[in-house]
Amino acid sequence: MEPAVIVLHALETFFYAVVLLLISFGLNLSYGVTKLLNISHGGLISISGYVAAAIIVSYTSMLGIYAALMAAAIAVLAAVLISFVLEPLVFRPSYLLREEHQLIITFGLLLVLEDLTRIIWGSSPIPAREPVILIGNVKILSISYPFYNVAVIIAGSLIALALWFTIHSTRWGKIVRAFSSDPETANAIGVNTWKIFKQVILFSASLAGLAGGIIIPITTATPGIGFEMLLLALLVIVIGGLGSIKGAFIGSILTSAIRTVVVLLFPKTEIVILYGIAAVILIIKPKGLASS
Amino acid sequence: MKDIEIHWTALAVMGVVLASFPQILPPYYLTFISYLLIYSIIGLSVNLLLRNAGLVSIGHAAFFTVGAYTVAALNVYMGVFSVDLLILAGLIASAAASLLIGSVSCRHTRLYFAILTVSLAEVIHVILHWVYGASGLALPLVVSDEKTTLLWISFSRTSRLDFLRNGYYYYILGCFLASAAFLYLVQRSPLSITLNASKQNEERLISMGTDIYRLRTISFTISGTLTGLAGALWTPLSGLVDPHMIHWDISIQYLAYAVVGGSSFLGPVLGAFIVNASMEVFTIYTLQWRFLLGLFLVCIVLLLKGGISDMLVRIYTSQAKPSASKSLVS
Repeated sequence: MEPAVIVLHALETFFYAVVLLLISFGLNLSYGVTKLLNISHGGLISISGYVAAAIIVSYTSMLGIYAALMAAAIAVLAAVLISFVLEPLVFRPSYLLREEHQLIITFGLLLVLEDLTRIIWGSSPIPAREPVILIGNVKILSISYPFYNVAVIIAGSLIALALWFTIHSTRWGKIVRAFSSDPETANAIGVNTWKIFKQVILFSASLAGLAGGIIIPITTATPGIGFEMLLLALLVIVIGGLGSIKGAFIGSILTSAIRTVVVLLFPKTEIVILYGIAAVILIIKPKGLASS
Repeated sequence: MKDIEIHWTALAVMGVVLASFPQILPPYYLTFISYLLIYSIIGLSVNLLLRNAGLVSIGHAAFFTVGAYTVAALNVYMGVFSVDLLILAGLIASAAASLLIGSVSCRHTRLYFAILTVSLAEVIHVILHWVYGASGLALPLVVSDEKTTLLWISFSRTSRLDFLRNGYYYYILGCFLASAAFLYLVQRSPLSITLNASKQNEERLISMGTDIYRLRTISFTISGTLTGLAGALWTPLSGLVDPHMIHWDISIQYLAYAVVGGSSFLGPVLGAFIVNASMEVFTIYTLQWRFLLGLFLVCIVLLLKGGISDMLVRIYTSQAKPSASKSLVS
């Protein structure tokens, strides 16, 4: 294989890994702290994706490339705003409920959020490729590659570093990790549980919003994008380890790499092999790869 | 003891009422009730796994689909026109599938179990997609010239409604009652009692020498097989199968039957009725029925904190208790 092709696939892998990381990091963090597996995370991705698409479509002629930045920012804002409303209404009463009840509640919410995009923007797909076209391509070893993806990879890597730093070194990160490993003690020491829960939910919502905002110029906003992204993020979490921050990093890179290799070798089997591998990993290492 | 009698009586009364439906109900409602009986089998079998073993499966749509596709493929490609044989084959195929998936998934519990079931269900989804294509299969059963046999009755060039009215409805009803009775016996068996105990203290049961993995697998296989039976029963009625039936949101819908219905044995029947009836009503008024269904599910689970049957039981006991204490005093 030519080196250029290898570089291209490596970039593709990183791009996908960044998006998966944003989604699964938030999902995993909020599960680790609140013990609520928030299926409606997928709905946030859809809504923020549609918001971003709508902004790109209507403001690109005015703002040019900066419309993409604005779209991502407003997408984040939309996701946080929705979670801000939903947290006291729906999430807070369900933190202490049984797993199956949480599943049905957040699934109901997923249906609501997904259908909201249909109500507001209709069922036909909204393409929003303008930023990718406007920014143009870069030449990497004689192959041209969209600069937008490169920018996302760079920005995403910086965000990943920032996430790692936030969780590991800041006071807030330490509190969050304390809640993740022992909520009773953390609460007994005097940290306000509900406040931390709310902050974590909003934080992970902002990551979902960002993911929805940056992926839209590449993929096109279609009904049900949240569903598929969510299932992949669940796989990432399982491969990496439930509630483990390190696991989200390992899982998203690994899932993305497997996906690239599988798409290259057997184009039609992408999903089935991913699920198969996830099942095998679960059987061998039930607590995920990040567990020693 | 009294509790048992109430359940058996309820089952018997329901059987008599349900048996009179084909004569009195208009087509739309008869079809609805038939589908409802099929979904109730699913609700009951999902409930078995949920309440006794405490396992939340998001892969049950896979067994439904395996049952349905077995019936469809045998009918379309092999030309089998005996409904009994088709449903038997569907039952066997879904038993095999649920034993296979169960023996892998039941090594774990909680979320890991849930995600294993959904992953393996997706594997089956993709396989069915390859083999039979995205558009699914349409069955020549009942409507074609070939003679379709159901027990001792035979049909050819009949509409599916007449097929339903003149025999298949009773067939479905029989299967529903048999499954319900079977699941009721399973629920009272040592298998379920041990599994129930394992929810409270798993370590202790393991140290006593109980093979919980085996019990969970058995319970999972029973639940999956009956869900497959529902799929097999569903297919001659609907006349077509497609790969969307296996999507994980359908599996969560099955869970919703059990959760909305509540923890008592016949709760999921109520749950299946409420979820499907509300879906029907919502689709009449709006294209955005998912929005309403989602809102409805959120409200019902959040506000009731348990299912509808639990609420009914609570109302019943809170009314019964004061009068009982009064009679004691006087």
